[in-house]
Amino acid sequence: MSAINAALRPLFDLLLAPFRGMPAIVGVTLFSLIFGVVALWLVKLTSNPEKVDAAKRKVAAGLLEIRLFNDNLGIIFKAVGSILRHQAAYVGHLLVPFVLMVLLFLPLIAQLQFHWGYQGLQEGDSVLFKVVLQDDWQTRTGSDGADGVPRPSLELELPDGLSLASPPVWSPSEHEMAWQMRADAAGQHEVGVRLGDATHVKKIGVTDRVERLSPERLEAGFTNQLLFPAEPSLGADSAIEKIGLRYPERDVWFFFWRTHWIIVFLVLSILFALILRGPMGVTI
Amino acid sequence: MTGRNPIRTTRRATAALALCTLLLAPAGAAAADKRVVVLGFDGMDYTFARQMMAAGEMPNFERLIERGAAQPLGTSVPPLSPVAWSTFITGMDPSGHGIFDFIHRDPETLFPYLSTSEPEDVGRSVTLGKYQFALSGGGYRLLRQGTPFWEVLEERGVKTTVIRMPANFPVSGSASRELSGMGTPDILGGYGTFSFYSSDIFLEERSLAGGEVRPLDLWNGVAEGTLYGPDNPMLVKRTKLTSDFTLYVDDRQDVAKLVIGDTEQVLRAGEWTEWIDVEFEVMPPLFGFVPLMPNLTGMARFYLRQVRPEVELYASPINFDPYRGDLPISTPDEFAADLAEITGRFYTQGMPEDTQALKGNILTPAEFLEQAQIAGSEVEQQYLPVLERYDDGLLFYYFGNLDLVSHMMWHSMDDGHPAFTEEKWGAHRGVVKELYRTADRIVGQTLDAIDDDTTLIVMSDHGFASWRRTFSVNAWLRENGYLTVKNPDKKKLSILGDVDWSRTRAYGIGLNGLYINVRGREGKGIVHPTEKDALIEEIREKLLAEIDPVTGEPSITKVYATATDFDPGPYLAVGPDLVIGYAKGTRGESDSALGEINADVYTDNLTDWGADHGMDHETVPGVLFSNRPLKQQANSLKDLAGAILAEFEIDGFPVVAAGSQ
Repeated sequence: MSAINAALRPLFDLLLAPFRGMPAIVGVTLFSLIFGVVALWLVKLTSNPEKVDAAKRKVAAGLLEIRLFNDNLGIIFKAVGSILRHQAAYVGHLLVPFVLMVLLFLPLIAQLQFHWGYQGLQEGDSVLFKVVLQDDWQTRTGSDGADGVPRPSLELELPDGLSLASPPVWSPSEHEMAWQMRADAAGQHEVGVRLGDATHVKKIGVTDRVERLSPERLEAGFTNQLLFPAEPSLGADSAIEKIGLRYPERDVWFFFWRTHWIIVFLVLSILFALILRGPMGVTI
Repeated sequence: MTGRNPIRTTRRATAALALCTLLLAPAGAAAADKRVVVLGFDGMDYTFARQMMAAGEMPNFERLIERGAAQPLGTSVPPLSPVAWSTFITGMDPSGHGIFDFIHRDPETLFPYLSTSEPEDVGRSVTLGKYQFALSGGGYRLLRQGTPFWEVLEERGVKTTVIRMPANFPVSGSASRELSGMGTPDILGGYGTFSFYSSDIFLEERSLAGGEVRPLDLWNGVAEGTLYGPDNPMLVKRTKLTSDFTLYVDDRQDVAKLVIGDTEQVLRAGEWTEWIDVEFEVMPPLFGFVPLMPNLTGMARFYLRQVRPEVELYASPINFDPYRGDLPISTPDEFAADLAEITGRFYTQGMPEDTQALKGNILTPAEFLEQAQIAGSEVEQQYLPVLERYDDGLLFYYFGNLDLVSHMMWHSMDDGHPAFTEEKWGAHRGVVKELYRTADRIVGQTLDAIDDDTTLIVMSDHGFASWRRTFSVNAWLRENGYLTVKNPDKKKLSILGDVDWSRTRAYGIGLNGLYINVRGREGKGIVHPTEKDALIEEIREKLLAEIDPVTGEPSITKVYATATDFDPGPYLAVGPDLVIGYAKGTRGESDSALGEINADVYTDNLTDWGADHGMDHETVPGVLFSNRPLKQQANSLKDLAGAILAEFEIDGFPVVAAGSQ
């Protein structure tokens, strides 16, 4: 997964570069169109249109049966059974393209979430920056906690454009060190987090443009990389579990409706698929 | 079919109305073109302002009155903010607008309540197990009566913007844009209740006036506390809504991480947060994740007072969020959110400066000033954007910071005040002057922004005086045989539960109010209505003869019988029978205002609330400054709205309801 993400990150940075200065809805609309077309193409490639059509007709026939014989309970029950059976068959005929879509689109949608799902920090913003350590961080770092409460020797290397607004708070029960950090200047900044000999880099975006923003950099793991692909994972033997901050969530305007981009994306993808199924000769 | 066609008749009537409107339009248009800006500085004292001006410390006020006017402005009786602003709004005295004090009482139960607004009862509800679902009601009702002057302007085509007008919650809805002010409650429904948390195990959990002291469970550097909201309206058996928070305290430095809901913030000791959402779960979600009811959400500012030796955290009263529109605080509904969009979220409670936290020794004077500075800045920061968006008509903008900070800081200029110590107050001698300089800066910004044709009026509702001596009216009534208690040996006595009403002829509620225990009006009244006037006269004479044993001076210089000295308005019955005008320097006891019966009639005022204006109204006039002589003279608050309307060539104010006078 790490290798796939390593390839997808620059690819999506490139694909979305033209939309950086535009409202997020522009990119969302275009990508919905592309996803709708690709979805139709997948259906066309991997499903049997005759069987899909037959199942649909059987469902329609069942509905008609209920309408025509609504005074006959026996026929209604039979019709409902037929509808459910053929509905299941319909889903079954489209299962392959559906699974393919999920496998293909999930990593792609995960990439898009980190472009459109968050707003960058603004100059002057203050944000909590935290580093969470593994449960066995003492073993991994060789810290013995001899001077009382165990406390890691975590240090931050801050670039120009970011500064600390508070000293760190160490929470032993959470294995977490937290700082209040201030965004002083715009840019894609890299903060160095040094623990012992190892230094990990965390990216922080101070920007009002649509750019890749990563709220968390996580320990290695398939799920972590699948769901949080915006930055490479921390090393497998790192004493750090995650490094993170909280970006404000971004909503997009869809006519008079302000909502999460993924909802607009799904609505538009379905809409485009419904419009284009005829011209593309796809049966769904 | 014979007779008139109703549709055609309606069309003809509409056409006739349109014609009338066109004919009348020129007069309306002339009024609409006029611009009048009114700045209301609550509590600005005429004498002090003139002294500051004479010393050259308020140059913009000098600039303002260069070609204009300056005069003391007579205040209301009693000179309390809700009364005074209601008088200004309606052009009537309390008998016309129904606000006689901060506190009124239910004559049947004598239970005190806030005078300007009240929560409406929830109507019908459906009960399902331990839950209940209200089908109607549950809002707030404005108790101030009468027609606000901006309504008259709007009816004549003049656009009005009325920002933070006191005694205007819920908002009237008749201005083009308005935001409610003093009288707007916090989430608990009162004027504001702070919470103070401490990990000190010996600190007693208790209620203070305007606040709660609560424990903070500290273990291994993790402190846990609970914020309390209002009663859960969904439960048949009322229980408080709660929201938990956690503080992670660093073991080496004076810093902690506050976690509440989704918000996490690192705070240094002595640091304030921005506004933080506080969510109360009204009903647990189905299966743990399907929401059934929206949570009740407010917002609070937190102040990490200290980390060592004990962790201490102050939480402001939980305010309604201007973005959410849960309360009728603005017209149009989205105006509060628009303001928040421009300058950030802000205190929506009417009196944000936390005087009670200082009075309760929760905040030091310096900490209180920091909090008041935050509250005052929010109001000031919103002013310029509002002024920039103001095109024509009336703009009224209220500043309450000067009043509430003066209450707590004025006596730092009074070395003879019984609560004054150089150690505590000496450093704050200049605070009140700074408030007046801030007002001067605001006037300067306004003068720079308006054109020569715009009338600028600067006014206040009352002045200020050092409050050295306290008079407890219920103790006086008891001492003079008008009020009898059931158990004289009991330490803390209140009219709610401790009074022998069969032998009590009068009682006090409110800062200046005195009521006769009238048969047929009060629940346990004994004074026959025919004896009431004679008793009023008897008490009035005795009160006016009162001499403070310490100062040797009269402690009361005016006593008004509302039935004869006030206008014969329709709401006389709401108020007290007598309104006491204390001599300058003396004020009614605060607890007595809520019905407490103190042991002593006279005491020194040793509280941090060291200055006031609830005295003889002639001793604490407000201010009236303008950049041009007003077309119509205004000697008192009662006349001022009429004078403002006269600037728009509109007369006929106040609007008196038919049959009311």
